[in-house]
This record gives sequence, structure tokens and C-alpha cells, in this order.
Amino acid sequence: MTDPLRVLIVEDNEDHARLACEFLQVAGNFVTEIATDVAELHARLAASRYDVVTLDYNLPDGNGLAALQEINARGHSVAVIMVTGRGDERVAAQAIQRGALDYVVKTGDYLSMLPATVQKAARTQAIMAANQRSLEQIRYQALLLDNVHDAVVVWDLAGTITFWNRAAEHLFGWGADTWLGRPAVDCYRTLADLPPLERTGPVTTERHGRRRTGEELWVSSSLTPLHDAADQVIGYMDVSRDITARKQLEAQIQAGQAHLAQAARLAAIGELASGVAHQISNPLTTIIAETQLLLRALPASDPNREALEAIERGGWRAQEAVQRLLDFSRPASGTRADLSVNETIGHAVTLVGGLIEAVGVKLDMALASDLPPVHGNTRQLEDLWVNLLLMARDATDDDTAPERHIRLRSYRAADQWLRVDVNDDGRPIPAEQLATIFEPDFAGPVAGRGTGLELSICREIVRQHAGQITVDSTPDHGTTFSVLLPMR
Amino acid sequence: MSTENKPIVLCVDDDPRTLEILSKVLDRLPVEPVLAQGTRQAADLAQRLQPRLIILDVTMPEVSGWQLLQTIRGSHPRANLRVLALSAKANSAERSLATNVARIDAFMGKPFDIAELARRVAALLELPPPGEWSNPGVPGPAGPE
Repeated sequence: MTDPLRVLIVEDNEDHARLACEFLQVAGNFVTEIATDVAELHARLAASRYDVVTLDYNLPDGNGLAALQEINARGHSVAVIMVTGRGDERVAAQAIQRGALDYVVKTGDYLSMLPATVQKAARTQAIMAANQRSLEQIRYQALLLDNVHDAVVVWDLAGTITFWNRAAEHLFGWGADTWLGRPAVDCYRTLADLPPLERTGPVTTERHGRRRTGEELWVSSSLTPLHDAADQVIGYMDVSRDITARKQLEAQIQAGQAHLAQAARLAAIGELASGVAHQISNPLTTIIAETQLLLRALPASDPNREALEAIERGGWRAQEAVQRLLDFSRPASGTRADLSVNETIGHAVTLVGGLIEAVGVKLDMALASDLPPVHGNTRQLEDLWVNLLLMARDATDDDTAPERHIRLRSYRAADQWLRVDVNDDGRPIPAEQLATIFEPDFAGPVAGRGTGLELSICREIVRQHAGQITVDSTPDHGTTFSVLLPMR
Repeated sequence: MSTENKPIVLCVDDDPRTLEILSKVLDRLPVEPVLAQGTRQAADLAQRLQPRLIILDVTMPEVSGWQLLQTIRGSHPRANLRVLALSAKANSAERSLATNVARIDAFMGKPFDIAELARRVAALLELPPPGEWSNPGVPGPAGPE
């Protein structure tokens, strides 16, 4: 059995009031109370909860319309039935306008109709209250969606965007006014690739895109189909979270790991170089100094002078190579200065030129002589050229072609850029690898070049010099790594 | 010129061939070269002979040349002891360490040009420049000074 309806009869005529109570109690599940004037009405409403108030129009301390207004003003959630005398229908109409749910005219049999009228008013009131709660719930949920940090975009089955929250505005840089009502496909073509929509459950992906400003953007996105009560898909909701910072950090960490691996190798080379330098410096001292002493002992016309001079030159060349190796393996300092790019190229060639020629590859150099200085770190740039040259060598070393070349060019490019091209005619890099060639690959060489780490290091060095590195590889023109550096 | 009047130059290196070369170069100058192959011997000779100049290989494998220099300086009463360091590591960092931190008077890479060595020694001892060395057999070697 449901709870009884609580009814407050507001009626100054006590006989009428008692009769109304009796009619209701006989008719069904009602609990009734009586208030005889407006003051008592408000006192009771303030003290207890009622489902329905039957409000007589004529009361000793005021009229029913004013009392109705007051009930509304105080925010009571109660169904009001206005009770008027015969001929007061105009009052009844006004009462309905001001929020009464129904009215009853005091005619001979009005009491017999009262229970049904009260029940109907109570039901209407319950429906209205439920509606109100639903509306509030909807508003609340909309507010939640608007205030979550994740971007929420919803579109219907026609692909039309129907919802775009504030976080989406923030994340993508586009307002709801831009995209609401427009095709989701256009939107995602602009922002980021859309994952497949066929799935029934949520699909979580990490996607790459761009903000309105063109800035790089990474999102972790959860795409969920929306279902109606009959479990039919009615649209999709895409919830995206900004993970750009994390992605960039990951890239930096990867580059850092590559650097560490390279640094460890360099440290090993350094130790080796240090030992070699020491062991070799004494015999080189003997070779050079004794040759110099001999030369001074020989007359200027002696035919052996030429050979001795060649020995001395050879000694100095060996000395220079050892010093370069020592310098190269020394930990790089962070100091930057104006430097000659051609000079750093020269140092790199001193180090690895022999390795290139040893495998039968010809190194052609064309260095522009009028290049202005570049602000940078000598050691890092030497590393850059050494890496690029050794990778070019890797690509050419098992080629069976009779003539193999590495071409190294430095020249002034457009505007304030200095450009260095390292070209080889070895195995080209497959097109599908070109896009990711600068990403560190800990698994091994990329397209047979290096160890998989060098190119990410090259990119990092170039980045630290505010420059750009690009690659172009075709079977006809070979592979060219181009480095652009800003000139001073 | 008698031995007593010539300034003593103590040469310290672990390589006997280098010592021999130093000796040959110094023989052309009005100095008295003394050769020390071991560090203990070097410390003894430094204390006993009070050399004006020490030519020292600071990259010997067994002992730090810098350590030896500290020992010699500690027992050397003469404030005008000159030091010329030889180093297999002739880069700028090493050079800066030698001249600024160890406060030696001259620094040369190893191998070295003998004419340059003779010129440096003469300058350090305020001797006239060694004229007969001014025409090197190979013009302008690319090596470090």
C-alpha cells in the first residue's frame, strides 16, 4: 500500500472543513488536516510536508490568490487546488495562472468530486517534480561535461558534431561555435586522425594532431559509441586528454638514452685514445726529433733529405690524428662560440677520412671559402659530421659498384642559413623508413647505417644549434642528409 | 765554459729515447743537461743539484708528473726554478690545467719540434736564442708548439 496523501484543507467554515475531511477519508487513502485562516496555513506548511492544499478563496485574514502567491514565494513544493464560490470562475482562472493545479467550485455535489480532484492534482505535482529533477540532472551533467579537464566531442550517426565542451575549446583552440553542426570528419581531418568507428566498445588510442595555432598536439583519446534505451548506436563520444608534454618528454628521454649510449662508447674510446696517445707519443718523439736532428746534420744537397722530410711529415700527421682522437673522445663541454663550420668538418675528416678511403670509397669535398661563422659547439658539430660521414660509409661499403663516392658540400643557402650536404651513392633508404629515420632505434641500424642511434643524436645536435636536418633518398641521386645552420 | 757556470737542466721522462733526444738538443745550448729516468731518481737529483730548469713529462704512466713536481718544489729552496712540461695530451684543456693550475712556465706537446724546444729552453733561462736552430729541415711543421 502506498503512503497516504497528506491533504491540508484551508477553510474557515468548520462544518465545510470537517465534511471535506470525511469525504476524503471515506473515498480513500488520505490523511487530512485543517487550517482555518491564512496565518495557520503558512504555519502548517512551514512545519509539515503536504502533498495537496485545498485553498478556500475567502478567508478571514486574506484571500486565496494572495495566499497562493505567498506559497509559491516561499518555495513550497505542494499541489494547490483553489476552492471558489459559485460565480467566481474568473478567480479560478487567475489561480491557475499563478500556479494552482486545479480548481473546484463550491456547488451542491463538489465534495463528492473532491477526492478525484485531489488525487489528480497530487499525480500532476509528482510528475512536475520529477520533470524538474530531470532537468536539474541534465543541467548538472552538462555542467560536469563542460568542467571536466578532458575534451569531450560528441557526434551523431550522420557525423554531425552535437557537443563540444569547454575543455575541447581549450585543447584544440577551436570554439564550440566553429564545430557544432559541422561534420566530425572535417574536424578530425583538421585536428588529428580519427580511429576506426566500427567497434562496439570504447577504443583508446594515442593520436597526433595540431592545435588551431599549428602547434604539435598529442592526445590520448577514448572513443565510445553512445547507445539509446533500445541499445542502438546513436552517436559517438570522443574524450581526449592532452599528453603532448608526456610525449615530448618521452622523445627527449629517448634522445637522452641514445646520447648516453653514445657517451658510453665515447668514454671507452677516450680511455683507449688516452692510452694510445701516451704509448705512441714516445716513439713519435723519437721519429720526429731524430729525423730533425739528422736533417740538421746533413748538407742541403744530400739526396736522403727528401726521405727524412717525408718521415717527419708522417710523424706529425700521426701526432695530429692521435690528438684529434683525444679531443673527440673528451666529454663535450657546453661552451659555445663563433666557429668555422668548415674547420669542424676538417677535424671530422681527419678522424674518419681514413676509414672511408680504407673501404675504397672516394670522399669529394667542396667547402665554400666565404662562409660566415656559426655560433655553436665545436665538439658537437664534429660529432655531427663524424656520424653523418660514418653512416654514409656504412651505406656504401658493401656496394659492388666500381666507383663509390661520398660528397660533402658546405655552402651559403637562402637567407641567413649555412648548409652542409652529405651525399652518398650507396644503398638508398626505403621510402617507408624516411619518415621515422631520425627516431632512435635501439634494435639496430636504420637502413644499414650506423647503430640506430646516430641519427637521433644528429637531430638533437642540430636542434641545439637552432638548425634543421632533412634527408632525401632516391636511387638516382643517392642519399643526402642536409643540415641547415643559422649564420651569425 | 766550465760545468759549474752552466745552468743545470734536469730532464725527467720514463722513455730513455726521449731523454737521449733532450740531451742532444740541450747539448747545443750552454746548459748542463742531467737525465733522470725514474721519479725517485728525479727527486733525489733535484734536491742535490738544484737545477734551474726541469723538463718533465707529465703523462708518464707509473707516476703523476704533477705529483713529482709538487715533491720537487716542496724541497726546492730556489724560487726561480723553471718548469717546462711535456705532455702526450696537448689539447687546450691540458695546457690550461698546466699553466693555470700547476703554474708551470711552459707547456709543449709530445712529440715536439726540436728547434722550438731549444728556443723555449733558451728563453726560460734567459740565454741568447739558439741561432743555428733557426733553419729547420722541414719548414713549418703542423704539429703543436
